[in-house]
Amino acid sequence: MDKIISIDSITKSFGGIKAVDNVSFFVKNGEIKALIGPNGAGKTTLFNIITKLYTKDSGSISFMGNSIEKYKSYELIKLGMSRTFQNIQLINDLNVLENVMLGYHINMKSNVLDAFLSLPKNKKYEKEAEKTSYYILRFLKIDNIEKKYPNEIPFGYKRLVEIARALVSKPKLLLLDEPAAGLNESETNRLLKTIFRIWEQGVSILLIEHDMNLVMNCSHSVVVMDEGRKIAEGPPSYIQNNDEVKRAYFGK
Amino acid sequence: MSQKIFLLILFVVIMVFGFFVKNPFILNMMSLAALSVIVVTGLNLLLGFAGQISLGHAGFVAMGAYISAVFSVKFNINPWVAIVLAVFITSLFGAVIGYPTLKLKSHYLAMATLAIGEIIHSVVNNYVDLTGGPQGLTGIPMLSFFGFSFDSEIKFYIFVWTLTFLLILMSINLVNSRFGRAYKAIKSKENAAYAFGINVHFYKVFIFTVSVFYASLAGALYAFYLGFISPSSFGLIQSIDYVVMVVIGGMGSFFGVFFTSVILTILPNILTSLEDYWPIANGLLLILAMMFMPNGLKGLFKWIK
Ligand SMILES: Nc1ncnc2c1ncn2[C@@H]1O[C@H](COP(=O)(O)OP(=O)(O)OP(=O)(O)O)[C@@H](O)[C@H]1O
Ligand SMILES: [Mg+2]
Repeated sequence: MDKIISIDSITKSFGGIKAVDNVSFFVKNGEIKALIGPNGAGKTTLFNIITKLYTKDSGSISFMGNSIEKYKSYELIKLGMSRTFQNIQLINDLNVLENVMLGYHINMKSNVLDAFLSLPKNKKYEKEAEKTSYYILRFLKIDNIEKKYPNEIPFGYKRLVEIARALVSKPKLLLLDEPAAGLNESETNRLLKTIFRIWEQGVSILLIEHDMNLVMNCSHSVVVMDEGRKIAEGPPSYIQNNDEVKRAYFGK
Repeated sequence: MSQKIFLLILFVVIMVFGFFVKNPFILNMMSLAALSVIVVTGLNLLLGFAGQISLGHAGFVAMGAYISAVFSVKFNINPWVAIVLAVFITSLFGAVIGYPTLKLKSHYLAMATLAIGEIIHSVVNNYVDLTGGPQGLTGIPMLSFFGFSFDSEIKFYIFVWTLTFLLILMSINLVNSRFGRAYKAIKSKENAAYAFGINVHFYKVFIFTVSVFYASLAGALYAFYLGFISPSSFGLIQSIDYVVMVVIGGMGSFFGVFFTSVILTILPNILTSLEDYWPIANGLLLILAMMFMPNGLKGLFKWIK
């Protein structure tokens, strides 16, 4: 099983426009794959189809060799797939640590009765979730903000908390939707290192990104989309000199 | 200060108050306030934490009250058994009706729950053979516990307030668990919640059922406490009152909601001469709260973590 995820002929229309048009590619196990393309190319839509927040019109997706057809969106994280959002989805009523603990929800086996009566099982899993989440914050070097609320931390940190929440469930595939958007240069460099460190843990990564520097520096392979279609795929060096890609970005 | 310690202090204060105040009128009012607190605590879980509205909760209070009272009066079932059955049946009903209803969002959900409350109300009003119709149902026996009868105001006061605090404690526990985090996610970032592995619809139906459980339990106790129930206590106005108590108390603030429901239950009982104007005052209060304190009394209790 050398493919962690395989995307086959995915198509999705909104009204008249084909947001994703017959797109196929796969991510190899242990690979960092970048998904790039101009605004409105359909990248986020594809993420939403992969994570089943949108239903596709046609095509199929298999994750670790199995079709994900029969799974619901909320079951995918259990299979080992987690994601971040382009427009940050932190919960303002929860502090940073609690936001990360939210990502550990499915790893906790305490039921509602345990919770209502605050039984030992509930406490045990709360402790475990706290410990694991704190560990992830430390791994990302942001444990100093664990008690802060999302509206009290700088934007760059929010992106990292969003990643921490996706990491805490120990995914096999991590889907990052524009993690560098809005970051300054030093924050982007820090993110680059972070992505490598996550990858070193054995996590395969599919990364949507506009920052070409980041993409060219960290990905093993790049897929380019434009107006819903896949227009090129290959190693970064190849993509950089591809005429079709240049036309998509600069030709209009 | 932690929520649980504050809750404990509040409990002691309420108990001490009960022992020192001999006036049965005041005790009676406070016991009724406790029943409101129970309903509103449940509604706070649904509305304040999970962000789902119900404009029909008086209907579930009515079901708890009428089912238990009818079981007891017409079928001679032991009051405690009747209460348990009524709460069980009403909660089950809440789960079944909640399943399709909670697929709706915001004002559609508001309309649907309003309709459910109105339907329950009109069934109670029209099914005269069992419910007594608009005239109400009398002769509901007094509760007793192994020969210990709740025959004085203070006895019921202690019982109902103890129960109320236990129910608040359970709610606090729930909110401080993984489920509490899940509901906060559902409330503010519903789509993302799926990605965290939360079965959003199931969670909504569950918390709705819990709030129906709280409402029906309060309703059943109300019936056996007063010994008489009539449909006029369970109409749309009451449903709106509950929502007002949650909103003014501050969505998701257990203590804000606590004090608001106590005060808003007691005030109309004291200002009886203003009875006719109460719904208007309540409506005004809601509008003013929305305009000038969108977070209700939440801010007052910020220091309790
Ligand atoms: N829920 C939706 N309803 C209608 N149209 C949508 C919806 N989501 C996306 N689209 C449309 O689909 C197209 C692709 O959008 P998408 O967000 O996938 O682009 P993107 O590649 O992620 O762009 P960006 O780089 O700006 O994030 C756009 O034309 C967008 O307007
Ligand atoms: Mg996008």
